[in-house]
Amino acid sequence: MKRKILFLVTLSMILALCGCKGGKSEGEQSSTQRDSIVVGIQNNLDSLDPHVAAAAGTKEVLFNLFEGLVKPDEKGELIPAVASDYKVSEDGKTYTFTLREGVKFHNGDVVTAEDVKYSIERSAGMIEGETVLEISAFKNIESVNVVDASTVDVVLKAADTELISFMTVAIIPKNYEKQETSPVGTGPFKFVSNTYNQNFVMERFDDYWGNKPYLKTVTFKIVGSASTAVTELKSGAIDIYPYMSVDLANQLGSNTYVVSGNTNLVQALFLNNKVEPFNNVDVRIALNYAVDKQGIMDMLSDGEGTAIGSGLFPGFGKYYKDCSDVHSFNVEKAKEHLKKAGYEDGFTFTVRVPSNYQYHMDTALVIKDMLADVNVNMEIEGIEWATWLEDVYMGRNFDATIVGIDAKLAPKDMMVRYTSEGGKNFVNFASKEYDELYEKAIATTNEDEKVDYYHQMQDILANEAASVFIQDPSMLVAINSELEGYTFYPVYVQDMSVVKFKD
Amino acid sequence: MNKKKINFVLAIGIILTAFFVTIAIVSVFYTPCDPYDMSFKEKFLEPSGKHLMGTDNFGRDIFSRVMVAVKNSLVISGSAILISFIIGTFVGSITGYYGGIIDEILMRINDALASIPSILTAMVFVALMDKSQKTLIIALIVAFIPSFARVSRSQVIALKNRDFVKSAKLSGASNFRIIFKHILPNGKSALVTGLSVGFNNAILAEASLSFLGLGIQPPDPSIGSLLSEAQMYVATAPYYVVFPAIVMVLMVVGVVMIGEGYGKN
Amino acid sequence: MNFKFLVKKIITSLVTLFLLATVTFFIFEIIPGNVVLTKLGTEATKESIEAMEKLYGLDKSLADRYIQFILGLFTGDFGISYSTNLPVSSMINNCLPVTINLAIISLVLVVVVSVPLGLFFGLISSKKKNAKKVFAIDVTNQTFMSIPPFVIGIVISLFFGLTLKWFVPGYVADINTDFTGFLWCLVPAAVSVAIPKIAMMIRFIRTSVADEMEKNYVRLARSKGMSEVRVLFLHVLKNVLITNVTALSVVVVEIFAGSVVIEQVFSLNGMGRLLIASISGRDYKVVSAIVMYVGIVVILTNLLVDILYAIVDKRTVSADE
Repeated sequence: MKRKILFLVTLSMILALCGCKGGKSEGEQSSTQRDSIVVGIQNNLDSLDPHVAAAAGTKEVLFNLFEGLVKPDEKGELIPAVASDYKVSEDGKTYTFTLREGVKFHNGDVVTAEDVKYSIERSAGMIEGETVLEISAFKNIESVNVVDASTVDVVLKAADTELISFMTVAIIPKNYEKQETSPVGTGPFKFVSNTYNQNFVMERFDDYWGNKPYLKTVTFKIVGSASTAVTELKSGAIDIYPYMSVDLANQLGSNTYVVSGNTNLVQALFLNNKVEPFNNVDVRIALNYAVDKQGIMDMLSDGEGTAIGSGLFPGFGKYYKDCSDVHSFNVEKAKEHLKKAGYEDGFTFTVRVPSNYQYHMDTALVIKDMLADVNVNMEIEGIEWATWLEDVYMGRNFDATIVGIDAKLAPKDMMVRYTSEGGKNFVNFASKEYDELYEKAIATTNEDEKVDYYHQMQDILANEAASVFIQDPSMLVAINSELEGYTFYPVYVQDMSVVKFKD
Repeated sequence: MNKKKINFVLAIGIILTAFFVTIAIVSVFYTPCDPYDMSFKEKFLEPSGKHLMGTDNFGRDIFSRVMVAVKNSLVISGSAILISFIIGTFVGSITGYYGGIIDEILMRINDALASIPSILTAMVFVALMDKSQKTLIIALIVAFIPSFARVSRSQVIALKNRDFVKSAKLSGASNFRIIFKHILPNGKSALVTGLSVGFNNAILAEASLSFLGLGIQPPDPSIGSLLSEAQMYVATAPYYVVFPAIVMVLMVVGVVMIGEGYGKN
Repeated sequence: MNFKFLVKKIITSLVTLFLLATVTFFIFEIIPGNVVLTKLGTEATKESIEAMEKLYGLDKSLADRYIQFILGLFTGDFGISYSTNLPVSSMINNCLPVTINLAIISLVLVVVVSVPLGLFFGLISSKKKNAKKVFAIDVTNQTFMSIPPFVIGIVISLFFGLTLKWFVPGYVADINTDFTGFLWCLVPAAVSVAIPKIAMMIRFIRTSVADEMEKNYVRLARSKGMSEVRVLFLHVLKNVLITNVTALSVVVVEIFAGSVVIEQVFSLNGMGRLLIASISGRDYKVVSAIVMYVGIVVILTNLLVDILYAIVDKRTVSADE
């Protein structure tokens, strides 16, 4: 027996030695403390640098850390943030921002006009040697000038009335090198830690200029799958989970309640317009006819959600045009168009779906079933989010994919995705007419004309079936019954500064 | 232990396995409902005469899906284990018989591969290729070769100096004939036990990989992927998780019992 | 045991490790596709490609990279991850505490439960009149051996977690501030991994106890009027345990395999979850590093068991004589 014990002790020691090398691991906050909560998210953040991050799932988190000169409120209005006020010159070419007094970065420094200039120039790609996700609207910027300690002028090459929507871009300190590992902004929360595959922790920033958050600590925990999310919501290991389907929400117990709102995403079966057979407009139209949008919503969200037929979602207000009945569900017409395209006997293609997003995966399954009725065989390949970003979005190496796409509160941010030369045009849509309309739409200062141009562009996307636009999904958010204040925004964000424990 | 009881274990094993094999074969030609057909109106129906195991979150018939899942599991693990058994036994017995430096090298490599749990080896191969049924089979083949090579090699080494081998040699039989006609049949019992253990492990590995989303891709069902889907809806549709779980256990019990019963014979 | 034996065993283990590393390295070398190009996408420039190749060490020759990888076995340096740009070793080290502690708890559970039960059942089965009971025990064992850990995990988290609320599924205490709490949080997962292995060990031990009880020295002791229990503890126990030490090394391997899956069920941040994320994300450096970590643990365990076995086996032989 002694030897047996000896054996086990030695073995345990080897294992423990390996374990000690392991060092520290981030644990989670206890959910029983009244001033901290855990929010489930689906993926690792793709970058902590707000000017580099591309994923909607990252931006919704970083919203709590960073602010622009202006920021959106829950009605979709832009309200002053780091700037206390701004003016647009009469020719629409100069924006003058007055900085709010005494706004502090998380590292304690006061925001200066130089920081603002740096942040705008950096995200415009005007600073050499810095790799950022350039904001295409900023290509129009001629110069950013520091007028005095609290005034910054942004001078444009051509008038752009939508530019202010892009001034939500994060203001970050100049000469700060560690944005990627230890981000510093001006938002209501400050960064604590980020552990790959585990969590992202932030805590209340006590020197915040505006209304201070109620919660002291918020942990965004990466939840492997929807099923774990359900278990963890029930057990109280996570307090908020924003990506529920109706069926999943039904699994929850009395310790949670569910609120729903629009996600403000364009969910679509995006088709790569450059590859066979999707370079054929008839094939694309056929798929549009073959997909029953209402059927998807019935199956996945009890019929909730808004069917769309083009590139914008209803949250864009007057710019939005309802094109959902351009190719309304009709199997016969789908077959006709397939015949016209020479695919009478159907064809097979692969849809690459980020597998962490249960909702998109489920959508894929439903669509597969619908396409089978017109002899089109859709193979589903579940891929990791990182692979999706690199391979599908950046590399444009795909037949089709299903995701939801978010946008800033300016229609051009969404519509630029379909311009022939646009860097974000991952579906490779190409239409001269569309490009011309786009140029006109951003150039004009006449609001009515602008609306008209955008409507025409949406018609083109719908008629030429740039992709199979499905819906602006309804979002079900499961929330711990002890919490209140969760607010929906017309953009895709999780604002934790308004969430609090009930008294 | 008396003879009657031994047969009893073997009999249960054979009956269970035969039952599932039958289901698998039938599923190719007939399932009560289309296992892929979705229907919004038939979501989460409780088990009934029409849907013996109820329906899932897409209104698909779980019973039909379980049938196809059994087929997929058996086809994948069965074909994988058969191929790796043939390759492993061939390599193991040849090198064991001839010995020498090649035997030493191959067995070292074999040991190296065997030092990784077979599910991990399989996962590495999924990483190398795309996620598909073909990949899954290849991954399982590679993962299980080492264990078969090891078993057959030790059998051949143990038996190669026996008298019946010597007499076969004297009568002029070729080495090949000696290995496959004389030695291996004598190590049959160990080989069959190895095969049943391997088959059992392959079923579990396939289920685990599919459970993790690394195996069969939706909408194709496998017992593992059914369980991972069902897990989400357990509060409102407990039958969804219960039936596949029972089927999974019975399937493995059947195979294990065959090995057991045979081994005791 | 002599010195020669020890040296031989150690060298064999090192050779095995070296071969494993070589196979692993080259397997991941032959795969097609250029990581850098995929990562940079359409906006790749010559400079950015070169910079990234340098970051990942891809600018070095194949031979250099191979040497680097082999050296990594001893230094723990496996380069920079493709998906996170973090050092692979730090990513793995973050996950190690969960996996290692999970394995230790499972192993302890297996031993603590299976040894007494195995002995007890062994005693029962050594009597002819108990044949039916033995059959029942075997069938039960067989069933538990056949249940995959993830199925047990689902049942445990539903029943004990959500219904009885004995623990909070998904919650793990901070290892630094509350180590005991951290260990408790791993217990449900450890139980799921351990149950099939407990069944397996019980079976091994039961059979060897039954075999042992048939041996002459036991009959002799019995005929001298020694009680059943005394015989068991004075003579049988030692031999049985020695026979089953090797089986334990199999259990260690399978515990690691089981925890890969179980971590997903209980959303524990161990190597299993990292591995799955890395496989789906095609982060080959992390995958190959994890393969090597597991390989090292398994090879070390086997080496230890061989050595221990050699020590005790010799004494058993002499004791029997």
